[in-house]
Amino acid sequence: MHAAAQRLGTRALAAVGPLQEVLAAARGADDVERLDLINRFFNQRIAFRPDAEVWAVADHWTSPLEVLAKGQGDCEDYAIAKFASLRAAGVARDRLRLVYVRTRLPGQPEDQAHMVLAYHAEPGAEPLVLDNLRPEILPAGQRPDLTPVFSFNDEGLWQGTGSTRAGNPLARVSRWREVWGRTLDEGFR
Amino acid sequence: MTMTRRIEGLIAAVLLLALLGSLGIHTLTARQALQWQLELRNRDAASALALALSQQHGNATALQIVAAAQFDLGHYRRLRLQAVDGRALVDLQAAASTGHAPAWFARAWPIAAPAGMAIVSDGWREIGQLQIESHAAWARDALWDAVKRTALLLSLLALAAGGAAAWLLRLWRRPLRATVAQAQALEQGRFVEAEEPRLPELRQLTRSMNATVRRLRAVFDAQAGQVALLQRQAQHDAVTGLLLRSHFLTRLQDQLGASGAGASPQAGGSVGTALVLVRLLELQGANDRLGREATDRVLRAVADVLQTYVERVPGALAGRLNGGDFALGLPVPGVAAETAASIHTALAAAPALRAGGVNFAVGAVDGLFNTGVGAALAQADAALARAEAIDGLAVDASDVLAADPTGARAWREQIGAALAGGRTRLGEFPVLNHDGVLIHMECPLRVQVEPQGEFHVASRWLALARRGHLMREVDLAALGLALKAIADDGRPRAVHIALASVAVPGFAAEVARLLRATPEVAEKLSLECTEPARPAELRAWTDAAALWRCRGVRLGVEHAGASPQQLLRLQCAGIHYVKVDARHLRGVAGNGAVRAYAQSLVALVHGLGLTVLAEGVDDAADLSALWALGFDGATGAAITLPQ
Repeated sequence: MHAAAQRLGTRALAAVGPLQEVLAAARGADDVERLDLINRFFNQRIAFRPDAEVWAVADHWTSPLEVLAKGQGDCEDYAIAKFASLRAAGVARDRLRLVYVRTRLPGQPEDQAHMVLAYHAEPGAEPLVLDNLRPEILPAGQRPDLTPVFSFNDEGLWQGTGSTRAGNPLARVSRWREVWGRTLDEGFR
Repeated sequence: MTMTRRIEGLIAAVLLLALLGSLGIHTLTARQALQWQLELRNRDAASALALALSQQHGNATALQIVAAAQFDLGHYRRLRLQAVDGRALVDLQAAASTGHAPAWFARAWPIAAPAGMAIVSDGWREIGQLQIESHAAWARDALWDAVKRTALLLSLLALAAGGAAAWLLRLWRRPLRATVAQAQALEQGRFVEAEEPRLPELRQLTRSMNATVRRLRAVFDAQAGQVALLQRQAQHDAVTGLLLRSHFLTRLQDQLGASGAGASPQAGGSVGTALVLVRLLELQGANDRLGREATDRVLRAVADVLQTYVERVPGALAGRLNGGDFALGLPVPGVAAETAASIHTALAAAPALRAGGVNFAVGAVDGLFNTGVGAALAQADAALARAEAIDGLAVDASDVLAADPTGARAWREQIGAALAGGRTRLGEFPVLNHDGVLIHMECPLRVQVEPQGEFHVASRWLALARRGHLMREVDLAALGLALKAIADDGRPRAVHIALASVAVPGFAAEVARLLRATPEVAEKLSLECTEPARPAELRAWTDAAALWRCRGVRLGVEHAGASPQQLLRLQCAGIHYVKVDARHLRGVAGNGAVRAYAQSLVALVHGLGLTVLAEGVDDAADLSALWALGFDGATGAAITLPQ
């Protein structure tokens, strides 16, 4: 993780020490505390800015260390960074879902596409929602502003054809697969 | 295994390895790509279907309908939706499709991709996990087709490459074979030069061998020159350079065509010879009066006059018989009177003779044919005696009968008829080595010219046969008889082949055909020719020798010794042995000059890797001298076949 941060520049390098401290603390804690630690870390470290302003493209999926290097990101960058960190801290894959949601932001006339991270304490139970728009972690029932559309995680993503990761040009076929490959290469595992 | 065979094997192995390797790598790569495609397809299908199912608000019927529709319309092996409690909400399976790829191929190169997985939810509530597997048969078929096509293309490519390699190898094999042939020739002692090939390594090799060959040739040429010099010293008078008496008489005898079985067909049997004798009168007195130096000048002046005929007339002989007696033999009938007159005039005008006041006489006899040398000399001597009595010039031209053209023509026709009618037989003269072991029987042809008449030796009919262009028939007759005789008693035999025959187109091939018909007999046959005098004859003999050698025949040159330089060229033509003419060896026991010549000739011939045989050895002392000098075999009156 340190080596990957070195390649990304001084800001990433400066952020990686605290991140590793948080991860170390989270590894010794239970899931609720883990959620709290990681959620707070990324909400404090990253300023929300749409991709169009940060990367000059409509939508850009960013790995956690890249987000830390920029210090800026949008909703899926928060969600992916938190997902990766929680997985690295020891939270089971089954309990975490990245969820596409519809949301009505205050002052906006139409619904917006948004992404949040959901935590299921039990399969089929009501999840806790980690959202960069609301700093606190709330049960899904308390977020009537969010309408979930589709959820996914890294299940089965790197099985089968083996160890091919970001280095394999064929692997860059989906945004999720590509960014997840880079994330694993950065040392989140 | 030869080098070219090894290279061919290596090329074949490399091509096969490249073919199989390429095919294997291609198959692996193609399989990888197909598996990857299959995996992506599974995953995309799972995501798309999960997205659709997630919009059904958890209605079980709706979930089943949407899933079934997707399954029925798509190409899926299995579609399963497992609820969070482990229950299968949907589980659809199709029979494994077979495709057209053979079963062994599917077993050897299995194609498998993990199932695509996605989460189906209803709002925040998770319904379950969707798993989708596609049919893999199409991928197996695609792989099978690709492998077949690739194998075909690679095989064609390998065949083309192999063909090109074989062609190149053949190009390189030719210079390689030429180099090997030269090396083999060198090993056999034949000093042939080869054309330099273009391949750098071979070129260097050939260049080195050519240089070696040239050096060796130079050495042998020098040695041959030495031998020639010694021969000259042994046979020629030191003061005048003319033939010594014994050598002159031997060769005159050949010319007169009255010699025995060992007659030289080369010079033998000219129809009519003119003999001119020159005698310096009172030479002893002149010697006392003028001194030795002036006398030598007189002798040389006579020799110069006679030498002009030797140079102008082919076959002419000039010799110093003794003291002041000189002789000129001309193988042309009807010119004795004219020649004697012009010699007389030339001598009368010679300053040395005039200054010394030396008197001389010239006697001549014409039309000598089929007489002994003694009779011829006696006849000429009689003319000379008459010349001494009168004004110094006398010609006896009475005997010109043999030059009669009509008689000769009849004789010639009879020879042709005898050859055609098979009225021929072979003489047999053994050639033995020092231990008395038979080398071969020398077999000159005898022809029964007149029906029921006697069988004549070559000297009686050879010249006429040659003029009648019958040499081909003569040689084929001798060859046929010799082959038959070898087949009968198994004794090796030698047959003379005329250079005139060899020059006849198709003759060499005809002989080769005869030899091929009886290979085991051919191995006991020797074919010999006289020393070729003209380059065209040498070329013809070289070509013929190459054709005959490979039939196992031994080849030789007979009546040799006059031009040792020729031996080197004949050796390159591939001969095995050299028969030295009797005239070069006569008196070898007692004459130091002859011995020196014979010794150096043996050294030269042995140096060339050839066998040296002596012809016409009549004297037992000469024979033991020849054995001592290292001769490998001899024939003649002194040799008899042990019973």
